[in-house]
This record gives sequence, structure tokens and C-alpha cells, in this order.
Amino acid sequence: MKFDNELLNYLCGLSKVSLKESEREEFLLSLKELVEEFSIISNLEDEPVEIENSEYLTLREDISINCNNIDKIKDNFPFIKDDFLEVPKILNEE
Amino acid sequence: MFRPVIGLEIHIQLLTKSKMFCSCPTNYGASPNSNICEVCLGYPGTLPTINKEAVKMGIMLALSLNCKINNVSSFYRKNYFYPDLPKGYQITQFDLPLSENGLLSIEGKDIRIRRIHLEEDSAKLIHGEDEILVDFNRCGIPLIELVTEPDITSPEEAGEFLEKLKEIVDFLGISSGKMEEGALRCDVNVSLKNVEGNFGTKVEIKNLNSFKAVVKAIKFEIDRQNNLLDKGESVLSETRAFNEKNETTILMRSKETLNDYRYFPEPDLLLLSVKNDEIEKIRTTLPELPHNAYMRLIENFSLSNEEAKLLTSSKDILSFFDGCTKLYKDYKTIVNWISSEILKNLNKMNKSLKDVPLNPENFTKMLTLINEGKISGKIGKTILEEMMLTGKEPDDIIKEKGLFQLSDSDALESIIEEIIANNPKEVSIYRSGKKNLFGFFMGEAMKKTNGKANPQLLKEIMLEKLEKNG
Amino acid sequence: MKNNLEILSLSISELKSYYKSGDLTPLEVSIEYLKRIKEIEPEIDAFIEVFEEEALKEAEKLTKLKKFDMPLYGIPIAIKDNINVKGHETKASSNILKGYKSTFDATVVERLKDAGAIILGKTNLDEFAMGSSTENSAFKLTKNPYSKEFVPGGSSGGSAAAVSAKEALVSLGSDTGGSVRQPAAFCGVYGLRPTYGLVSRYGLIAFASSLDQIGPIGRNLNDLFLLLSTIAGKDNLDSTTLAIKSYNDLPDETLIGKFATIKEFEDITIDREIFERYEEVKKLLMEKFTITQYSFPHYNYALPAYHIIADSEASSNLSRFDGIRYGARDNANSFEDTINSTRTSNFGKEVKRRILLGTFALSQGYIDKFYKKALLARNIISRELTSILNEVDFILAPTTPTLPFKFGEKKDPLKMYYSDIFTIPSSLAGLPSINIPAGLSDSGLPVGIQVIGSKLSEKKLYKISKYIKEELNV
Repeated sequence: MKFDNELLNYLCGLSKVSLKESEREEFLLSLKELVEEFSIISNLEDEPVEIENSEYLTLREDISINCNNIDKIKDNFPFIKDDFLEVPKILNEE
Repeated sequence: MFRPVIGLEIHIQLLTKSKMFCSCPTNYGASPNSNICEVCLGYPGTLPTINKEAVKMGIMLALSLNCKINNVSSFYRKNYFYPDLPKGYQITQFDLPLSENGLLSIEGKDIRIRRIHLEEDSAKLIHGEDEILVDFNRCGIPLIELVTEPDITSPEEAGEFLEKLKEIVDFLGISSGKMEEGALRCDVNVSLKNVEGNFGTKVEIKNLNSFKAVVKAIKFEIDRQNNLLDKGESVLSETRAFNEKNETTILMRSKETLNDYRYFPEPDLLLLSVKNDEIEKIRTTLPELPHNAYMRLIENFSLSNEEAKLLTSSKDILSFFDGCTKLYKDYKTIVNWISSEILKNLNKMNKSLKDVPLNPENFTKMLTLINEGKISGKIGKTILEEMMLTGKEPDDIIKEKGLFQLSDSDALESIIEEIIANNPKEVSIYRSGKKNLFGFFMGEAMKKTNGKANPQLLKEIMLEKLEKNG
Repeated sequence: MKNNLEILSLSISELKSYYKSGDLTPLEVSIEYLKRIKEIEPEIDAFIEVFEEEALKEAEKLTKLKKFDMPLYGIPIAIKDNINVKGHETKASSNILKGYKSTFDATVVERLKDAGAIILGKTNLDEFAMGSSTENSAFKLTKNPYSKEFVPGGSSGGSAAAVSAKEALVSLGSDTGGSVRQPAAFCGVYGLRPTYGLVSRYGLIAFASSLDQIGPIGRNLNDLFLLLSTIAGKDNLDSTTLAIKSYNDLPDETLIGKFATIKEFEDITIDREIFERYEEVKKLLMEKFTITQYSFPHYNYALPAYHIIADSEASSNLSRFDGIRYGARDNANSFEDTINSTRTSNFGKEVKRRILLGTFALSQGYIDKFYKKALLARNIISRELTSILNEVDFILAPTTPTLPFKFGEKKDPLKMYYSDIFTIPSSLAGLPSINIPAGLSDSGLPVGIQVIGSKLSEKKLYKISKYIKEELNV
């Protein structure tokens, strides 16, 4: 497995986090080191993994509750237009 | 040469009172960003909680479609960035869905259901020129995702599948199933299989807003793929959008790069476990399904297939019909009124039966009045229209508008004698053989009685008087 | 009546009895604490925000109320700034949350307020709780009250330093891989990581959902466990909380009389003075307890498993920070550029590193070898530790491999991660563990000792911690 610039670019694209040219080398090195250090984990042999259950009867009842903080939530919107949240348009429209 | 291979991926919005993972209200038509809270807006520190009713509805649909329900199922995160997705991931199901391996019967065959699972809806986006406006009311509303096996082999079968599915969700009361309202959304996968049975390349079609659009889109796509293959070209793996105006599909994006959603189990939720006795309890509360109602109607009432189909096309119509038959014996009359006048009025009013104040009690009262000769059928239609608008009792409407039918033979006799006396020329023309002038006399009598004359009785007496000489 | 340093040294029970007798009021005590904060903050920098006005108002209200039976009546508390407190900014020491005003209280905060506590302010942390020294804060460096060139530990460095420097009587931190225990050890105070699911996470800004737990920090055991009992218990808003209604419902078990030590832990080279203190405690315990060494075969998978799971969950949990609905926004021409720019310029280095690592571990082609294997490792580690705890009351271990280190000393991420080598395993297994301050080193820096119990054994942990402190006079 090669942890290289191509992979790093791919991860940056997926996570919407970019790196400056000046820090790229440093990140590449440290990530490479960490991945190598952690790759020991792949040596483990498979077995089923147990997780805990949440019972049907204890699930949340279907009752609607109006939030008291809607105005404050809207106050946190960076840009608001007629009660809608305003967001820049998508470039690569899918 | 090539056989169409069609699969459907359907999303159904559920009619729960609160959202899938928070307690926000779900009522349609609320003003923008009024059904929101910190949870569905992805605020820091908030956590999801599973809506029990949504799980119940999922189980109800799974049972109705003969699916195997998994006693333990899990929720997963599907990670990607988009303005309608506040958390940057959607909570959905992936490995271990709520249910699998069911089927839905359409005319002549069974379409296998691969899986039915639960997930949350995204926010609504309004695209402007330079900006997007986001309304989070829809964000977090429970969705059922239903995926079929590619067993559908024609556009018509797809249309039928959707109609049947809509009837079922309507009967179960879990969704309106109306594509026009966004309560049901459908994406289609189309490919062509060659004679040897090799599957061709799958093309995904999106942006379908009605059952008709689904049928048209599939039709176009089959032709398009056929043409390509005939020319010796290959079908590319693409996502295409349906263009309503031209009834064509156009390229949206190519599918070479698949999105890396990094699915992993939702750590904020435990595994969902539903025991067999809880599932059985839900099964006992299932309402009668469209197909069973259809069979019952055919058996108990000698209705035609079309009539039974009409009566089972929606839950309100069926329950209205059932309610009426308990109060009024002549079910043929009931069916006729439903299929003609009632549906006509509903279309005019653009409403569903459950939204108008017409009920079996007041409707059958009106039928009884006609049967007793107190009003004519024609008057009955007028009264029906008023009832559907105002919910007033038929007796009250008749009183208010003075619509009682004139069935008094003596009164009718004297009116007829008066008309005969006042129209000697027409009488002699009629008596000389022009029998089609009968309509004129009937018309005059109706005018004279303001339309209230009992037509049957009027005809009898009129004939008698006219045929008598002198 | 009492001079200010004396007031600051009073425990919760002492304060409450003085309140009842009328010798002190919540207002007087709050004024002393706020004075202390003003005085010493320039040196310590434990707080991100001090709620001076609000605390005084609350203290006044409580003084008039005189409801002495409230569990935390008039008790001044500091809260780590990754826990939402309504009406105030909660920034998790990150630039990306500048301007984000909490619209709700975390469940633990609601419970504290209902219990009569007075919130003095929010404390500094490593950005998004990612770190072991609080150096990763985007805003300030918190100093170790024992010596200002040394770090207070992390990520709850502010909460630990505030209690240690008597700027608050108790505080709340959060522990993912040791973030309550390690700074508690470095600052010479008690810190508890509860059983996973005992305390609600609703309102705690998530780092690693399956590992995060809010934990109390205090200067004495009674204070610590009283604080725990106030916040513990099922919360319907957090599906991962256990079906335990309150702290009182926890089992009250008797001690078997056995301790375990871990061979692989004891094989690690640690600072001499930490080793010596650890051996001392062992010897003292041997008078009444049997101490047996056990093997923990998959011990070396713990650090990798922890980082893979934590970073994977974090990479997803932090996706919501995009500047779109709250916080800082770097407005650009398109949606993609806006979120990219916002995240790129407002996340610190360590946060970016962990997001990239987590994204890697979950991505196509690597998820089977990394994330899924890490889940497997975690299961095995849980099993191994639980089976040891089936035979003994507790596991004894050091809390940290080194004494507090200096600012800038651990630049290599891996070396920094190594600080959590003793605290990570119990986090992975969801086990409760406590740091007990065990004196000072020759250089005057705090040394800590860790006791790990089986799930829901907090009442036993209280008993043994008391024993170690009082009987053994550690």
C-alpha cells in the first residue's frame, strides 16, 4: 500500500480539507508514519463482532414537540433570506 | 432481440407525527424552517433517537410485501457533503437492513423485493441564480427505501408496480404515496439483456415526478439502448435525467467514479432489535390490504373487475363503500354513484374523499329519498354536490331549496291537463303521429313544476292523457 | 469571616454545611472564586470565558432561595468548552466555532443547574478534544499550576488546571482516550472516566462517539463522586446511555480483595519517579490485597485500534463543521469552495491530521484492513480486560508513562499519542477508571496512579480510592 500524494489528494477531496503547499510534505510524512504504525491491526484474524441492542419497546414514542429555540437557531444562520438559509450555489451540479 | 431488465429504487415518505431521529413536527406546508431543532440541523453535541412509529410502519410494509424481517438490524452513516445534508452524513441502513426478500404481485407475475429499510430525508433546496435557499422542514422526515430485483420487463409493469405499491401504502395508512407531492420518489435502473441472457450495462434514470413519467422514461430509454446496440455501439454506465417536455432521458453524469460514502455503523445508535412476538402483534393490527379487499368485493358482491378495482384503489373509497353497504342494500346503485357523480365532483373540487364532509350516513339517506320517490335522481345529483361542499343533511338541503319531488298524481294530472289545453296545435300534431313531440310536453311539465315532477309518474300520466282522445 | 484561601479550600460538604448554618452564602463563595480567577488567570489561562456577571446573578438567586438540600447548592464549577451551555459560545477551542452560540444546555449542564451549581465559566481544551497537552487549542496555552513551563495535560487541561489552581471547586472534562485522567494526573487532582453510557453525551461536542464520556474532576473523592452522582443516569436524548436511572441504582458490591497488574504495562519503560510511586502503592496494597500479574496479550493493538476508531468517527462527526448553518463561514463563490475554505482555514493541524487519517481508515480499499479490523481489535481487548476483571476487583496501573512534559517537547504526533498508552485500553473497553493523585516528584510535579474497575463498579472505585488515599496515605 502506497500512502502517496495521490492518496492524500483523494482524502483531502473526500473530507473537504485542503493542505497548503508548505505543510503538504509534513502531513504526508506524519500520515505515512501513523498509517504504518497502525497497520499492525490488519494482522488480526476475522471473527464476528458483537454490538449491543436497543429494544423496540424502548424506542422514542412518535410525539411531536416544537423546539423553543427556533429563533436562536435562525440567528446562528450566517446568511438568511426570507426565513430560508442562504448558501452559495453548487459548482459541479449533479 | 434484447429483453429489458428494469429495477426500481423507491423512497416513501412516512406519515409519522415526528421526524425519524428527532421530535420535530412533520406537517406538510409549514412555513420555511419552522419544523426544525438542533438535532435535525446537525448542531454540535446533538444525537439521534429512533422513532418507534417509523419502525412499526416499516414492519407493516415489510409484512404486507411478504418480506423476511430481520430481528436485529443496524443503522449506518453514509458520508458526503451537500447543502441538504446538515450533518455531512445521512443516517440510513446498509448491511443488516430492516427487511429483505419479499414480493409484490402485479398482473401475471411477482416482482421480488430485494430490501426495505429506514432512513432520514434531506432538506429541500430551492435553486436560485447565484444562491441556493435551504428549508430544513423536510430534513429528517422518515423514509422507507424499497429496492426491487430487476424483475420488471416492461414500462407498463413498472407503472403497475407503482400503482399497486401506492395502494398498499395508502391502505396501511403509512404514506399518501403521491409522487406529485414528493411522498413517493422513484429512480429506475434500465438495461437490456441479450439472447444468451447476458446482462447489459445499467443506466440510472432520475428526476421522475409521476407514474406516467416513469413509464415514458423507461420506454424512451429502452428504445435508446436498443438503437445503440443495433448500431453496434455500447451502452455507457450513466445517470440520466428525464426531460418532461421532450419525454426523453438526458445525460446527468457518467458513473465511472463511484462515490466513496465510507459507510460505517452509526455509533450514536445501538442495533435495532425487534422480537418475533412484537412483529406478530403488528401483523394482527394490519388493515385489510387492497388485494384482499378486491377478492372480498368480488366474492360478496357480484361486481365487475373494473368496479372492484375502482373501489379498492384507495382506502377512503373502500371504507366509504363498505360503510354504505351496511346502511343501504342496493350496492349496484352505490357503485354507480361512486364511479360517476362522486368521483366527478372530487376531481372538480381537487380533493380526496376523506377531505369532504360526505359520509355513508348522509349519502345513503339521500339514496333512500330517491328510492322513496321524494326526489328525482337529477335532484339527487344537485343535492350530492351541495353535501360534498357543505356537509349539510339531504333533508335540510331539500327543505332550504324546496326540492321535494312532486309525486302527487292529482296535482300532476291537473298540470298536464292545463298544458294539453294550452297547446292544442302540438297536441293534434302529436296525435297525428309525431310521437317525438312527447319531449316537448315533458319539457313543459318540468318547467311548470320547476323540475320537481316525478319523471316516472309524469310520463305515465302524460302518455295516458295524450293517447286518450279528447 | 473566613479568609479567601480558606474558603477556596473548603470541600463541597463543608461548603454546604456552612451554607446551612448561615456562616457562608453562595454569593460570598462565588465572589471569592471569581476574585481568585481574576488574580491567577493571567498565569494559568485555564478559562476560555468567565461568566462573571451570570455567576454572580445565579449566586445571588441561590442565596435568596436557601434551598440547602439541593445536591450541589452554591457549588462553583467550571465546564470544558466542548460542552454546550445555553446562551454562550461553545467553541471546543476551535476557530471554526467562533460565533456559534449554544441554543441549548447539554443534559449534564441541565442537571448541574437543577442541582444548584454555579457555572463559573468554560475551560480551555485541545481543539475538539484532540490532544494530550492542551497545546492544540486555537486560542491559548493553559499552564500547569505546579510549574508554568509544563503542560497541564489534555485534552481537558483547562478543567484540570482550574481545579488544581483553585479557580473552581470542581469541573467537568471529557475523556475519550484519557483526556480526563491524564490532565488530572498532570495537575495533581482526581479525575474519573465513568463507565461508557453512564453519563449522557447529549450536548457534548462529539469527537469519538463510541469512546467519549464526560467525567468529573475534583480535589477530593467525595466531591468527585458527588458530582458524578448528579450527572449520571439514563438520558432519553442519548441512545447510548445505559438503562441506569441514577447513580444510586449502581450495584453496591463488596470487594473480593484482589488486584491485577498488567505484565505488558509493567514491561514498559516509564519515568523513574512514576515507576517508584507505582511500586510503592503496590507494596502498600499487598498488606490487605492479593496482587496478581496478568497478561494482556493484545495490548499492543490498543493504540492503533483506538486511533483508527476515534479518528474514523471523528472524521464523520466533524463533517457538520462547514460554516453553513452556524460558526465561522469563509464565504466563497460556490458551496464546495465555501465549505472547503471554511474547514481548511479554521481547523488546526492536529484536527486535520485526524480527519485525514479517519477518512483514510474508512475509505474504499482500506476500510476492511483498518476500520473493520480496529473494531475487531477492540472486541478482543474488551474481552481480555473483562476476563481479568472477572477474577479481581481492580486493575492497578500508572496513569501516564511520564511526568508532565514541557511545552513544545512532544512535537512528533506518535510520541504525543504515546502519553495515553495506559488510559486507552480501558477507554476501548468502556470501563470506569480513576486517576488518584499520588504525591509529587522530586522536581515538584504531580504523579498519578490509575485504578480500573469493571463496568458499573463506580461505587467500588470510590471505596478503594478512599482506602488508597486515607489508609495508605498516598
